[in-house]
Amino acid sequence: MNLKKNLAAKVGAAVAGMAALLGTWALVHTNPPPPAAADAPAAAAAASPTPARGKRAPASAVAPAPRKRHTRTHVS
Amino acid sequence: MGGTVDVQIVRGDAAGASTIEALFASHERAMSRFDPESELCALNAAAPAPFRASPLLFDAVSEAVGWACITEGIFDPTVLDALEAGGYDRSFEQIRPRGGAAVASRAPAGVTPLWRHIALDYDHETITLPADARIDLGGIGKGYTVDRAIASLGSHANAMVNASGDLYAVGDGPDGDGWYVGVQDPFAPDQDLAVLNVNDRGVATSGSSMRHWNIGDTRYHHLIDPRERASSGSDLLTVTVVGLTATQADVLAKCAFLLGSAASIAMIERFDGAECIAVTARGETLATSGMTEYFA
Repeated sequence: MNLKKNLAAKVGAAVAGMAALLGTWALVHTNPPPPAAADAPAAAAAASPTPARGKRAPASAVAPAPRKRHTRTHVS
Repeated sequence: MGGTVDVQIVRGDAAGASTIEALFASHERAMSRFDPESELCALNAAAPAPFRASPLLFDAVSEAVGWACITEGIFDPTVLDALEAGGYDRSFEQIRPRGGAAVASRAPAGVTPLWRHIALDYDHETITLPADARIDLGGIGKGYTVDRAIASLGSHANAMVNASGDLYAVGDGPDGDGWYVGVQDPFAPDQDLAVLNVNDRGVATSGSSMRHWNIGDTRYHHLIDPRERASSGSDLLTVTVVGLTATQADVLAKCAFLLGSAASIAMIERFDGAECIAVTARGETLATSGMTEYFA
C-alpha cells in the first residue's frame, strides 16, 4: 500500500512538473522577454553584419599590415 | 627617356612639380638619341669636328666621360654602335622581332677605348668626338636628370623624384622617418624583394628583364658590355644600388650588372656611400656589407 501511495504521489508530482514546464515554455514563446542588459551587446554583435569592435577575427581573415612604401625602384 | 616620372614634394618650391616637368622635357630634347633634332644627335653628326655644346649637354657628356674614367671603362658612353648593331636602333617600344643575326663588333684587344679620345674644352664648352665615336647618354640620363630635378627644389627640400625606377629621395619623408623605397623582386615583379629606408640618397635598379628583344633565335638586351661590345652575358638578373646621387646609383647599377656576381659586390664596396643588392639568375641574393643599414 505504501509503495502504491508513494508511486502515485511521484507520478502526480512528475505530471505537475511537466505541466509547469509546458506552461513556462508557452509563456516564453508567446512573449519572449527583452534581453538582459548584460546580454545586449552580444545579441547586437550576433545580429550585426560587421565584426564588433575589439573582437579578434580569425587569423585567416586578417590582412597582413601593408609595409610602408612611398615609391619603388625597378628595372625599366 | 621613356616611362613616367613620379614627383612627391612634402616641402620645397611650390612650383616644383611644373619646374621638374619642364626640366625633364628640356633634357629629353637635348639628350635623346632617337630625336634627330636633338643636340646629342647634332654632336654625333659633327664628329670629328669640335662641337659647341649647350651648358646642359656639355655638363652631361663631361659627367659621362668622368664616370667612364672612374669605372675604368665599365661604364662607356660610346657603345652606341654596338647597341644599334644589336637592334636597339629605335625607341624600345618600336623594336620588333627580326630575322637574321646582329653583327656585333667585338672590341679589338689592346686598342684604347673610344671614350678616352673624347676631347672636352671646358673654356669654350666644345666637345670633340673621334671620327668613329658616337655617344649614348641612356646609361646616365635618367639619374643625371633626377639629380638636377631635386636640386631645383632648393636646399631644404623634402621630396622624392622617381624616373621609371631611378630616384632620389631628399629630406625626412612624408612622416619624418625617411623615404621607404620598395625594391622589385625580379622573380615576382609585382612584389618587393625588400623595402629600403633612405634619405638624401639616390636609388637605381638595372637589369635585362625589361628591355630585351630577339633577332632570329638570339636574345639581346640593352646593357652592352663594352669589353665585348655586345649584350652582356651577366649572370645577374637585377642590381639595385643606393648611392650618394641618383647619377652614381644609375651608373654603378649598370656597372655592377655588367661585372656579374663574381665582381659586382667588390666593385660597389670601393665606392664611399654606395651599397647594392643583386639577384642572380639562379635566385641567389647578394649584398654589400652596408646594405642592411637601409633595410626597413
